[in-house]
Amino acid sequence: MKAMGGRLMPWQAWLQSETPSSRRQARLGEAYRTVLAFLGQPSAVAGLAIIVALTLLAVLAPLIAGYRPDAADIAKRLAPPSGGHWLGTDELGRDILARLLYGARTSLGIIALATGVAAPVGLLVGCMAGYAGGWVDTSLMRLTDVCLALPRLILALAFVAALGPGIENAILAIVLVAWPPYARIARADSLALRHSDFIAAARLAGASPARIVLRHIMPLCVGSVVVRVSLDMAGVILIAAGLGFLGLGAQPPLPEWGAMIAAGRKYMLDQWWVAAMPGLAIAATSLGFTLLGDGLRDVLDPRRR
Amino acid sequence: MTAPLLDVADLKVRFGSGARARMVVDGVGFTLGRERLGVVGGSGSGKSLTARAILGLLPPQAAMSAARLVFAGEDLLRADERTRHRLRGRRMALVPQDAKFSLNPLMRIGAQIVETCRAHRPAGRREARDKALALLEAVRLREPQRVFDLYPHEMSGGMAQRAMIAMMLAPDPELLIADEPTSALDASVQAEVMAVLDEQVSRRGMGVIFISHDLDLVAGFCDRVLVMAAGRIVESCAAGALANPQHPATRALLAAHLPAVPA
Amino acid sequence: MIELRNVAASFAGRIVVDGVSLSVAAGEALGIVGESGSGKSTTLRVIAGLHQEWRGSVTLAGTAPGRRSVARRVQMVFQDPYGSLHPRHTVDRALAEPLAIHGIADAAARIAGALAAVGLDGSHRFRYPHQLSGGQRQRVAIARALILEPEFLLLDEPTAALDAVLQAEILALLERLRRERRLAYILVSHNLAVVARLCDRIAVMREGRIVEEFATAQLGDSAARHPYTGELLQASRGYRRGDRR
Repeated sequence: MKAMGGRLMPWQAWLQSETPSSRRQARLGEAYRTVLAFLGQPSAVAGLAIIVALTLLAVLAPLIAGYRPDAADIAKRLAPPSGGHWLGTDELGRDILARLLYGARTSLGIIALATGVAAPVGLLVGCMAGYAGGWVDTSLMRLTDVCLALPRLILALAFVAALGPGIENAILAIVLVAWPPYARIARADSLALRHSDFIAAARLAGASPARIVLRHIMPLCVGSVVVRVSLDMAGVILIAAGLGFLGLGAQPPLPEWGAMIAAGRKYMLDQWWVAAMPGLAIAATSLGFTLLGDGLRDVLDPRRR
Repeated sequence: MTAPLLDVADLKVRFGSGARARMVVDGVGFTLGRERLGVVGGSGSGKSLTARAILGLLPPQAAMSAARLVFAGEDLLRADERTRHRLRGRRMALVPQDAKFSLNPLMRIGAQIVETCRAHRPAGRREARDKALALLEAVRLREPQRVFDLYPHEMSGGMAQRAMIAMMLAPDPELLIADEPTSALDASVQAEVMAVLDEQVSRRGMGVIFISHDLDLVAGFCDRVLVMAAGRIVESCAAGALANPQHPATRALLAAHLPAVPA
Repeated sequence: MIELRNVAASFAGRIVVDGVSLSVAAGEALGIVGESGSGKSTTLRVIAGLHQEWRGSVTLAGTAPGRRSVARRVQMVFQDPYGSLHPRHTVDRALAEPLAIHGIADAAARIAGALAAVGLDGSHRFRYPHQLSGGQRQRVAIARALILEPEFLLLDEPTAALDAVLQAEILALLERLRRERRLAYILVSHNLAVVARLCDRIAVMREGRIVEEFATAQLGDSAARHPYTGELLQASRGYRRGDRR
């Protein structure tokens, strides 16, 4: 990233300045150092590349997919991969590639929404429990234990039985079982930080407990939670796919990877591509998130600081 | 004239590379016989890294070079890792600053000393245990039998540091490098630990490199003193000659000493 | 005026402070000296409102410890410069925080002033703690303690983690600040020399109790001093080869 001759570009010099002259410069400089550290790890960059590629494909699905995902053509059903249909067609003659691309939107959307709600909730609960201690800690952690004890898929089934199938309920079920691990991680970090001198200094300055938790403790716990979120993604994708497989997630004709595997189950021996393609897509996404999570852990590990 | 115990010339330690390289030790050289050499300097002067470089314990991102690094006739620059490993511990010992961080928190003290005894010289369990108890007594720990079964966290700072010294002396090394051995201890405990070091070093006739930021402490314990600043040796003299410092860094260190009783 | 009357404190059930009474008036400097485990740091933390398990009476300028109003009268400097600054806050943010909590305007000028008072310039203002040296961090910690303009400063072994030259610099800084701002200090240390340097009066603590209290000028009066104080004095003289103990 350097200009010719190994000298730094002006913006790089600004970011790497040893004496920043504003908070913004300091913050951006720190972010830049973190990004550089991240880019120094090939596996992490590979993971990020996979995720970015998948996201782009999902976003650009309408432009890239040659066919509409619900365009059925019974005459061409169960066709193997060919020039016309790169990944073949499914049991209703729909182009699998198009359904994968549109399915990416659904799947990525589900996991983004689910973790987007679960992670902040877990982070907040964990930080509060860790800092407050006493009955607040006990009651929040028992609540966490209850949610952890619930088996994910069974809970989702229960939800659906109560509220009916659909994406929204699937997301709700995932959120309910995904937040406890984040709470535990955040609580562990928070417990360690609670006795630090800089927290004592904040208390002495008159900061309220809410201020300390939100502005002093939470920023230091985010790193661990982010790492866990990335590593969890693989599991969340599988839950979403599992729900779809059981017919509890997105309802037909909405394309969804899990549902596609379920539908392709009957044809696995002879027309393997109908189930295998969505399976590969799930595997690739899981791999991407896992690599990303591993890379983030090395970069965001608070002990490095 | 006998060969020196340790012969160092033009030792350099560098962190980073290219434009961002920092020379943290910049051309340090000295010889050491069976005497006590003090190395004094502020933080960042490179004194600890010099010791680590001699022992081969630098962090992986550090690069070392030297014109000469010879210990008791063995060329450390050309030695392979196995030789260095053999020398380190058995013939060159390190007493680090904080024993609480350097002792294994999950093993009892006695077990750790026994392990050290047996690692460097094959010995039976009974023999090693007797030697460990003798060492604990030699460092003036009261009730060595009781201390033998304690975990590091159950001991006070002074006790742990003396146990650490006992462990390091187990293989009967010839060179002792003490890296701020009393800096983490209370003033009242420092004297006890220093007395133990004094006695053991005299009795065993070891060569000592005593690293500290406290010029007064070093002057009271060592024969010769090297003053380091910014990776270089800026002054080298006998301990008694420190009353007339030449270099500003030495003067600053001397002036930093606080009198106990107000003048 | 800070006053302690018969304060007892425990740590996980064990008694570490056992009936301590002392008082510090405005502008005075009291040094509490003792070994590790003597209870001196716990006493200080009780005064600061950071330790909850205690009995007895503690008044800080008329109020009890731990109240928000105390923040503008009593502040503290901690031992470990590496641990007393938030690792993700710049120096600017660390100094702005107390001002923001108490709604004090004119933050930029006050921050610049506080940094100047401890001998740091603007180039340090937007750095993170990991970009500062140990001595610089401790200066920032002192600046943070002073930014609310307190009358009392509690100092918990402020130079124990620093080397000899830095220690001398920080002690000189603390002495100057006390003179300029007419601050009162309660300084806790295991090092009698440090305490004698900065304080008017010295209290010697051992196993949770105050052994004796006297003016610093009387430290050398060995006849009048308690034997334990004599031991501490002897230890502070350093070690000489062949010293028999």
